[in-house]
Amino acid sequence: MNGPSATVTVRIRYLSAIREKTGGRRQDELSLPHGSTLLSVADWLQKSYSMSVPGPSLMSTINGYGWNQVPGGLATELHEGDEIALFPLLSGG
Amino acid sequence: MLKGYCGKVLRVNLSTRATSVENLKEDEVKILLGGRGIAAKYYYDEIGPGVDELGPDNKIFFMTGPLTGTPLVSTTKFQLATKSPETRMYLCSNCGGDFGPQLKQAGFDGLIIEGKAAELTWLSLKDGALEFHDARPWKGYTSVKTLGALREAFGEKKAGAMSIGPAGERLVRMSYINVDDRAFGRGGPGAVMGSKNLKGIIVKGSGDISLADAEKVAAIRKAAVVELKTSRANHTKFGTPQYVEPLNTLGCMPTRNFQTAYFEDCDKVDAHEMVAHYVKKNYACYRCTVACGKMCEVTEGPYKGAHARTEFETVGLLGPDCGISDFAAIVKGNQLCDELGIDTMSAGNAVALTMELFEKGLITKQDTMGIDARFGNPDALLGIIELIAARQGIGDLLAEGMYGVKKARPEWKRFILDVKGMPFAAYDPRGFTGNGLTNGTSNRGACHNVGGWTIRAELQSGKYDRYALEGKAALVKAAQDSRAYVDSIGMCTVVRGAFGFSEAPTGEVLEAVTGYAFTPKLMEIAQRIYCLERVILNREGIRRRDDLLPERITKETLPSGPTKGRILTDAMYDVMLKDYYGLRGWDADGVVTEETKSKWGLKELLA
Ligand code: SF4
Repeated sequence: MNGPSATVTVRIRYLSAIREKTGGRRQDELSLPHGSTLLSVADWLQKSYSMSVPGPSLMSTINGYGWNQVPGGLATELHEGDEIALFPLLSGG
Repeated sequence: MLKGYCGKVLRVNLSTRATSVENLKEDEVKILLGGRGIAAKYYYDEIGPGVDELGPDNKIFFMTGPLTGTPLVSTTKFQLATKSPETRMYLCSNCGGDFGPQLKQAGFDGLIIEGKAAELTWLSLKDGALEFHDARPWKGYTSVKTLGALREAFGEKKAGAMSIGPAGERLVRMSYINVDDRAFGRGGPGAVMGSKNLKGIIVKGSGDISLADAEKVAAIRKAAVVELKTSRANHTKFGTPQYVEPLNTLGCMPTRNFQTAYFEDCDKVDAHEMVAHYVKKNYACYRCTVACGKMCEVTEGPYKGAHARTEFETVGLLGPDCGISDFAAIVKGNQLCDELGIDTMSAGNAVALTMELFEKGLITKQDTMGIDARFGNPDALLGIIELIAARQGIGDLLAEGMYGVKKARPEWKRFILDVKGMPFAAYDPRGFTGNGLTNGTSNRGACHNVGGWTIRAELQSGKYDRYALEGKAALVKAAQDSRAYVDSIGMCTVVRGAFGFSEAPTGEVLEAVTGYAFTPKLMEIAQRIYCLERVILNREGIRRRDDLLPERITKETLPSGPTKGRILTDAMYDVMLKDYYGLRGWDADGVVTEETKSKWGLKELLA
C-alpha cells in the first residue's frame, strides 16, 4: 500500500513576489495519493499559505500551461514529477 | 472646448524662431481623444512619406491627453509622434514624468517642434512665454547632466524637463529623450531632437486644468487609490523586474541574442536579487501612488557607485540576452545608456547581436576596438554601449539601427531580431504565439505595448493555448486597441484597471473630467486610431512583407529550457496574420481598404 506507485510527488515553485506569501520559501515537494488532482494542490496551498489558486490575483501553471488551459481544469490528474509554478500577475513590462 | 483640455497647441519653428498658437479642434478630439490619436492626425497631415527623418522637415508632435495633469492617479503620461530615425517610418511613443502635466498647466495640450536651429539650443516655456536659449556650452553633456543644467538655468526645480545626451547629438538612431528621468525610449526620437540642434526643453505652468465634475473626480480618485494599494502592491515592492523569474520559467526569456529562451543564471538578475542588494528607493511619476520605479545603486565591486532606475525590459535585454548574470553590470549598463542617451532595449539587442557575430567569428577585435565581445562579459556590454554612443568601430554601424545594419550587411539578417527596424522587447514569441503577432503587427515595429500585450491572457484566461493559433488574432487586436486609447488619455497603463480602462471600458472618469460621454466610444475611437496609423504606414510603403517575423523565430526551434523544440513558423504565423487582417479590414497585402476607412470615418477626417 505504501509502494512507489501509491503516491505522486509534484514540485510547487514560488516565483518572484509570490515568495512574500510563503515566508521566502522557494518551493515545496508535495507527495499526494496516486490519483490526486490539481484540486488537492489547491486545497494544500489554501491550508498551508492561505493562497487561493487559481485566483484572480496570481498566476498558476502546471508544466508550463495555465491551470485554466489544461482541459481537465482542477480535475486534472497529477503525475509524478509534475511542476507547478505560482507567480504574480504579469502585465506588459 | 471640452473640459480637461486646454484647447490650444503651441507650434515652435526652430529655423525661424517663430511661434504660434493654434486651436485644438473639438470635433477631432471627440473622435481621436488626445495623445496618440491627435498626434497621429498631425503626423498624417504634416509628415509626407518623403520626409527625411533627420532633416528639418521632420517634426515632433508632443501631445497630452484629457487626463494628463488632472488630480487623479498617474496622470503623468503624454505622447509623441515623429518619423523614426530607427525604423524610418511613423513612430508613436509614450512617456511619464512631469513634462506633460506641466505643459498642460502652462496652457497647452500639445507642443509641436519643427525646423532646425542654427546652433545647439534649449527652450523654456513658462505659462504662455516661450524663450530660445543658447545650449552650446552644454554640447556633449549627458542627458542627466542636461536635465540638471536646464533646471538650474531656468531657476525652477519643479519644472518638467526633457533632454538628449551625446548620442542624440551624434544622430545615433536609437537615441532616446530623457524626460524627468523617464523616457521616450523607442525608435530614436533623441536623434530627431539632435538633428534639430535641440538639446532640451523645460516647462513650468501655473494654471489649473478645468474639470467637468471636480467632486466626482475626487471620489473616483479616492476609490482607485484604495484599490491600487492591494492590486499593485507587487509593483510597489518589486517594480517590473518581478517578471524576470516567471518569464524565464515559462521559457520566454531572450537569452544570448534569442538563441534560447531560458537563462540558467536567472536567480542572479531577478527581482529578489535587486531588492535585496540594489534598491535604494522607489521612484514615482507625477501623482502616482504605485511608484513602480526602482532606483538601484551598486554599493560594492567594480561598478560601485553605478545607479539607475532599472526595469524589466532593461534587465532582460542587457542581462540574459547578452548572457550577463551580474546585476551590478546591468545597473551600470543602464546608467551608461541613460547618460549617453540611448534606449536600453535597442542597445541590449545591438550588444547581443555583436556578441553573437563575435563568437561566430563574423567580426573580430578589430571591429570591436579590442573588446572581447563574448556573451557574459560585462566589460564587453559596457564597452559596446560606449562604441554605439560614440559611433566608433562596429558601433558606428550599430548606431544606424537594425534597419541600417541589415542594409549594410544583409548576410547578418538571420541574427537580427526586429520587425520594421524596431528591435524586440524581452519576450521570445516562440513561447507565446500571440506575442509573435503582437510584434509583427504593432504600428511602430516590434513592440510589446503598442502591439498589444497578451501573455497573461494566453496563459490565464482559459480560452487559449499558448502555443496554438486559434483566437490569437482577436486577442491581439483587442489588446492593441485598448492600448491605443489608453495612450491617448494621458494616464499610466499600470493603473488603468482601477479606472475601468479595459477592453470593455466601464466607469465615468472621462465623463467626470471632460463632460463628454467618451467611455462607450473608447474601443471605437481606438480602432480608428489604429487604422489611421496603418494608413500612415501604408503611405510610407509598409505592406504584409514588413509584418513578418525574423528568421530566428520562424526557422529555428528553441534548443533548451521549458520551451525546447518550440518554433513559430512562417506557416503558423500566416494563419494568425490572415485572420488578423480580416478582423482589421485590411486587404491580403495589409493595406487598409476603402471600406474600412469609411467605417472609421477616416475618409472625411483625412480628406
Ligand atoms: S506605475 Fe510606474 S510608470 Fe506608471 S505612473 Fe507610476 S511610477 Fe510611473
